[in-house]
Amino acid sequence: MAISNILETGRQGLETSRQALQLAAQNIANTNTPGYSRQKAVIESVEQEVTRGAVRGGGVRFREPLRVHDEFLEKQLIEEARGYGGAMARAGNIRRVQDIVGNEAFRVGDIVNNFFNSVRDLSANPEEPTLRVNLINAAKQASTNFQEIHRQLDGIRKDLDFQLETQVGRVNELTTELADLNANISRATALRAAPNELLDKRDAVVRELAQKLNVQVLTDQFNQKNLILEGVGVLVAGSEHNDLTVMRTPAEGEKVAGSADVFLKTPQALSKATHRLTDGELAGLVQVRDQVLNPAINGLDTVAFELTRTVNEVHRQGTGADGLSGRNLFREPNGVQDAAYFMEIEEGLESNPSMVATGFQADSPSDNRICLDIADLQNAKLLPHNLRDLKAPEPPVSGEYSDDTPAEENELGWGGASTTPSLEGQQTLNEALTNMIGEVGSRAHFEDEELRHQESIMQQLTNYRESVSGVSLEEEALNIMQFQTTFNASARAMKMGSELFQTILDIAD
Amino acid sequence: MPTRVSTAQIFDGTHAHILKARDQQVTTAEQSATQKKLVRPSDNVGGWVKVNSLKDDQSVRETLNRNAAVASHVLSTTEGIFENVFNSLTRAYELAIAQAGNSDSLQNRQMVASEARELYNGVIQTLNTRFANRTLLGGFKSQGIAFDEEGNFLGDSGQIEIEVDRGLKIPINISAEQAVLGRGVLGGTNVIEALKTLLTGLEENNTEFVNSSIDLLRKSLEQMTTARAEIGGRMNGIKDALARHSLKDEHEAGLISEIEDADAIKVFSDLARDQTILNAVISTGQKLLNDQPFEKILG
Repeated sequence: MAISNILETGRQGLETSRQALQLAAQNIANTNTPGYSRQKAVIESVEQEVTRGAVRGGGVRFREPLRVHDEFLEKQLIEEARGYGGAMARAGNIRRVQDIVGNEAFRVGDIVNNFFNSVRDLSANPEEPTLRVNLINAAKQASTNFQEIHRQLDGIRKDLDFQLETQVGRVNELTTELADLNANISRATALRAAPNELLDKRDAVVRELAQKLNVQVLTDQFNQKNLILEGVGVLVAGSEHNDLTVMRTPAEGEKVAGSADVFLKTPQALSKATHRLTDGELAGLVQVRDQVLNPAINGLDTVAFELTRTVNEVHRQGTGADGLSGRNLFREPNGVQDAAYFMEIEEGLESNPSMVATGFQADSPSDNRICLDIADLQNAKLLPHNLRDLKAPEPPVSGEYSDDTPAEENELGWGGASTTPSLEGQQTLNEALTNMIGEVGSRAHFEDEELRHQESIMQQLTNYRESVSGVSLEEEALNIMQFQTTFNASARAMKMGSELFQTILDIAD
Repeated sequence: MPTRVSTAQIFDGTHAHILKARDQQVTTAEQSATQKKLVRPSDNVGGWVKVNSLKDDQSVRETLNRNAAVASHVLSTTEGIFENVFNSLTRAYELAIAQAGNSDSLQNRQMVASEARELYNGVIQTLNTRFANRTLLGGFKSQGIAFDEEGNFLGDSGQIEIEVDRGLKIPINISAEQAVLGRGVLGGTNVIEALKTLLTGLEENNTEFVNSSIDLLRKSLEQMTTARAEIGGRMNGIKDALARHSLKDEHEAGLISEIEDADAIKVFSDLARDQTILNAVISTGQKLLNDQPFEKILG
């Protein structure tokens, strides 16, 4: 072997060790980078060539930095990310609904109790003008409380739609980034570069997308990650992508008019995607809105509607202290939808308490029969078990809604259906409220458990991923020692080769 | 083969354990602060539904209790009215018996007539007794007098009911038409007319009127007794309702507490336990994090 070979081999050793040390430094620097896959130096020996009996070449080379990564684990993470995203979105938002309707400091049932108790107080002393005023105040308080709860729940509904829009925006950012990464990885691969960092970034983007919605991830032969939303269309294909968009649409099922729907926009069509969102954060938001929140609001509206309707029906039969009859205690509701929001006492009642009817007869101050009949309504089974059966049909609306399109209003400012639903008795007003809140609580409990379960699974999978791909400082320390030693040894070999060369030169001299 | 542990795993794991311990501590602290283990429906859905129904019951029962107390006082006062009237009628009856024959002198008879007149006026006044802003025997027309000086009834037959228990209403007024005027009562008599008959007999020295008033007054006494018995029955009904309320209050309060309230001793013991766990987790984490093999390997 020529002396130059020794020098060359030494140089290769130095270079290889240097690159390996650089890789160790890279790993150490990215110890805390989320989603980073450690890279291992792949070193191979160079084959020696034998030419005319002379041995040439040999040595070592740094072939590539190998990304330590488990594709199967990655697939599992993506799979579980959907469930985790959905559970997170549901648990957090259902808790918000529960905090409003299940607030122990302010019991929703007391809205009904306080009103009927004031009616009972008046029934015991119908002659007392103060107690009429008390009843009016209680009715007003009931209206205000119903309105406030409706407003808060509606606020959550609007916020869920806003979150949906924000998440869709984020999805579009991610799909754009994924398409760019696909293109960059493709270019780097063509240039025979190892795009390990790009691959890590792409995996992180795909994981985040999987947490947002139930996409199918397909890897093609060119190592491009393509995303499909099953039953809807392609989100990402190579370096191309399609955006999602949110539009306000008419009512459908439990979804109310003016709420957000998700669509996939392709050059050919605009396809509705909401019904295909089965998991992930987007699906979680829609599920909370349509399966928990809207039924809760509908339950509240139904109780408010039935309370005002039945109380008015009785009150109209009575005669006020002014001798007049046929008047309502509450503004007559137009329908179930938004009945709680629009609930108010009858106009003029506050300034004229003598409008309150306590009995049937005029000039009969102690006639309390109307009060007794109204109080009886609290014990009456006025509503069916399933309040969803009562949801009045929505007025037909064509075309899209704009972002702030209100429900249709009549001249009194009431929205909603014009038909009065038929009501059959299986539960009282209090029972209906209790059951409505109980359903929210039951769902909240289930989703809390589900979230804990999903968190545990994600934690486990993340730990597995970390144990495979994560950087261990101790390991890198050993690698540094190893390659530093090799570096020193290669330098020593080069020095020895140089000394040999010098010796030859000295002989020649 | 031992499991590989990355550096991030050590930090993340320690972080997760501390968070978990803190989360548990916060939950226990909430129970300690509220002294409740049932704070929101999702804590115990079945329990919450039960407690909520019981609290609705309690809220309504509070008003029913109040109304029952009002009903009790009204009936008690009405009973007092009839007791007074009964006493007056008893005296009138005695006077009628004493003056039944023609044996007494005109002067004496006039003195008796004067007493009878006082009795009559007293009865009218008693029958017009007001309580809680209401003429008790006026029916629904309770703001004016029930009987005028001539004994004409100015009220009506309206029955005022009060709800003293869920679905249980008790009339708190006695129909003056029945009890005083005898209308609609088998063998009933007009109490005021009975007195007036005696009065007329005495004032006009008409023995026949005096004699015929005896039977009327006797029937009036029976009528008063019947009315008082009816009041007694209603007051018993109210007493029963109040007793039921009291029992329910006690049982429901106990049940609510059992479901809702945290065991104070357990909560404090849990707080101590959670603090110990948190300290142990932090201490373990410190040991793991402070140990830096990286430094030791490289020297």
